[in-house]
Amino acid sequence: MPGFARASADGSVRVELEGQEIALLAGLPRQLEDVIAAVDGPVHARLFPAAYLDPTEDEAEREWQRLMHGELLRGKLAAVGAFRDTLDHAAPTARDRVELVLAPDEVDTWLAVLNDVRLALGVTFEVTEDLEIEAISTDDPRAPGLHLYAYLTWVQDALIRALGT
Amino acid sequence: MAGPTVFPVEVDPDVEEPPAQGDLRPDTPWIVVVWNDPINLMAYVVHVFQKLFGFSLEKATRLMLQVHHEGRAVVSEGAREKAEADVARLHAHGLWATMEKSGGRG
Repeated sequence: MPGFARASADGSVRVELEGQEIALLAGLPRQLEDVIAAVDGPVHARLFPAAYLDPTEDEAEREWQRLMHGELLRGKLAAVGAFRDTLDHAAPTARDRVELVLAPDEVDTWLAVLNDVRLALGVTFEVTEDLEIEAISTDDPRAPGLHLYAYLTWVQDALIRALGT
Repeated sequence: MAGPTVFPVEVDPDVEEPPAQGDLRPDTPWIVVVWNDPINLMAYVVHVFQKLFGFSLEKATRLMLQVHHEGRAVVSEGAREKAEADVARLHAHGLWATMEKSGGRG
């Protein structure tokens, strides 16, 4: 089993991953870059929401988007790059495993990237709070995406738990 | 039956009209609302509230539960610029946040 444990009082987290997990996580940056590059659709709308719901604030909304969208986009791409770097610096240990120690800002990068991928998958597969992923048949075309979603949910939760210990 | 009493309206042409009230009030306060969604983890939402706003674990948890059970919660308020900045920071962390004028909704 992979492990997530607080490494020091400053909020660093020690992560141990198995080979299959490394491959899964290493595939996320490319997937997320593709998702972020899309300019419309429900996933784009969820990753880049409106600030104003009030239609009389349309002008303020356009101005806000003009000012903030690029910054938000650059922030997400920077997080993807930083996430990729942490995996590149993972140290191999015995038995097809790697270990890495995430500094506090790298923990935040992981949480942000995991969350964005989960948002993209969750919107794509119309995840609800009642969804029981274990009940999804392996024949279901959504199964691979939803199983990745469930794994990333587990990783994100484990990271937050490690911070709290 | 007596007819309606009509009070004459006296107009003094030397008195200027007061300026419209809106010109004197400070910028309307805005509130930042976080909305419930089925994807963000409860523990993650608590983590983001603590990180962005410096809330105690108790306050962050209370607001997260309000979002979860009532569908929305107000997490910050202030002038338009501050609200816009807070919305942007929440979006950067993947939370679904919007802003509206304070008092626009009971």
